[in-house]
Amino acid sequence: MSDWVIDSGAGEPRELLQEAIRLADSPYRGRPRHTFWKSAISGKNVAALSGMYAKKFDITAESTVVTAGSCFAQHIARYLRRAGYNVLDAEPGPQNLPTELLQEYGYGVYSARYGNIYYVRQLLQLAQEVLQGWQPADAVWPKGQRWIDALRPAVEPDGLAHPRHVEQQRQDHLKAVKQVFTDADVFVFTMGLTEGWEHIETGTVYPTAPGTIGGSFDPEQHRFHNFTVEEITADFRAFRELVHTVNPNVKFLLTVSPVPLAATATRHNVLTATTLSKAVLRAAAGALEAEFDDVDYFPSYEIVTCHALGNRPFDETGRNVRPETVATVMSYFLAEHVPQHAPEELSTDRVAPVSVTEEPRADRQPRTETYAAQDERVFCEEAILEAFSDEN
Amino acid sequence: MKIDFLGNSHLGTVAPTLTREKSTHEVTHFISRTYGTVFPIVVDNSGGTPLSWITLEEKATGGHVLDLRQTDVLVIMGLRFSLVQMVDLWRHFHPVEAEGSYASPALSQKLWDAYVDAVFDASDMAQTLRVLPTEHRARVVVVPQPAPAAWVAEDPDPRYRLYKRMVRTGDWERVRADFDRQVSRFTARGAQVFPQPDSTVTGRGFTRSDLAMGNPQDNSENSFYSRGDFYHMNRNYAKLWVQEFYAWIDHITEAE
Repeated sequence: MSDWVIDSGAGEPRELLQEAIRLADSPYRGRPRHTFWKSAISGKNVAALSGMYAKKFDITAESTVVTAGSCFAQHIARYLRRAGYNVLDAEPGPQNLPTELLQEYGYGVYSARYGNIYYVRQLLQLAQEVLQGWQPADAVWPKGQRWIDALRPAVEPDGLAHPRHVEQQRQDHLKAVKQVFTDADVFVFTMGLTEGWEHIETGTVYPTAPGTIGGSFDPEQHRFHNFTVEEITADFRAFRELVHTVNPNVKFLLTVSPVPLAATATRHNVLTATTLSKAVLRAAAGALEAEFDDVDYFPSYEIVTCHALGNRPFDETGRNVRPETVATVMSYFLAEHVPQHAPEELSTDRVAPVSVTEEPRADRQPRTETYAAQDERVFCEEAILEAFSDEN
Repeated sequence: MKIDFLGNSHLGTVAPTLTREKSTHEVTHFISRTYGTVFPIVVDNSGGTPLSWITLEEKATGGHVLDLRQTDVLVIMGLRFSLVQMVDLWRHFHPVEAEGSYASPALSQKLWDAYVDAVFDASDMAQTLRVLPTEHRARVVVVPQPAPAAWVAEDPDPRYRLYKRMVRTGDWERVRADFDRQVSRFTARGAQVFPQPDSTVTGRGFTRSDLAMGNPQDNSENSFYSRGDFYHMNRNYAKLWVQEFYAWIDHITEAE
């Protein structure tokens, strides 16, 4: 305690203050070390932070894990596969094609070919479409002479020749997503953005602004919307309830993407807008985690953005998370949800993260990888917004 | 002319006729058998290469060595290079631009083409062509498996629903075009392709029903039809095919 810096008020002797603290009946007394900044964070290497994550429920080797979310979720899906988890791929591409080619077309990136789902309203509308027959508006956009799915605009990089082809692929996709919802034991979702674009008349939301990858922006039809904590939590509650109608035992693991916004549609500086977005998402995730026993939160956002020693999370762009940072993040996850085979990157010269539950379980069996997870490429259509800067 | 024939069961159905009608040619058959135990070995000046995806009988009459220094023509027949294989791909995926509706997921044209290429590149035929030495005296001829019997597109049996739908919607022509593209890819790699003789095919590119082993009129137990065999052809087919083949190979060799 001698190195504490305490403002002791009006010249009160230090010894008296320490004695007062010793005798005080504070609710903080006896709390675990990881609840105190000094013992958990100060002077600690980013890979050795104390008690960063304590799982709420198990993810076993038998658990069917599904993944969805923003770009950062791709890392999570990849690591879980590598670690031998049973990550569902309900919409696989042809297995004899190279992984990179398949991923360009959205196969094997997540548990279905939905592309990046940046905000919870998108996820809710997907569930409503699959489970309630809800129909999105303005769902097929032109892209040059071709056509794309406005709700997953990057999965066909060259577009398709006719709108009916887009609709046909969407029907295939919805069948796969239904399996995702019905078969999942654990649904891992990474919240990415609060800034979204919606169809004014129907409320249909799109992952990218009309006119960015395809379609065209019409202020009479489309508008910007920055989701609030209340909206996000309400959307997730509705999503959870809806999925429970077909899969009452599914559990949810929420994360918040640490990747800053590529651009903001607000009047604010993009850094300020990023801070607001991430704060809103983090608050929503926290509220949901606190509200439901079957909703857990994994702090990838905190691990990436903390100021612990050795943490250089982003490359020179300030947006792209370095592979070693992703490895650190996932080492915390895998320390709690112990896989049969740890990823190779985690096996050497890395300080093992401190787990809240200390005993790893050895009863897990590896699962066959569907996709070879060899590259660290992340498919992120949001980054395309940078092309709309006047500097380009 | 010394001709070595390497192939699967489709070679087996024409081999006796090839031998009987060989005229002055010297022919040897290397027929892959599912119960075979010995890999054939392709030999040239640089050494021997085993074809581990093909298994010959231990006591195969022609032995197990295909010596490219000694033969004039190496004919590679079947080895899953067929329209039937192309149709089977549609059970897993189909091109989104297809006219009909199919149970399998739809792929964009670019991905579909890549998928088809990858499947055919992995076929026993493509593997065999890949390992052949590039410098040898033998001419290499590729012979696709026969097209499916025409009755498969008319038969009420639900097993053949896919063929019926393809013909009805016009997607069968897409299948044929895709197959022709694969033929072109083999040609581009230096192989000559002997197409199925016109005398054996219908206007839609199926094999005439009367030339198939399977006959819808014969649904007795263990008949070819009952076993769902619409792709092995009979002796009449062999006769027509062998005549056309020898005429073709004599013509192209004389022309040179």
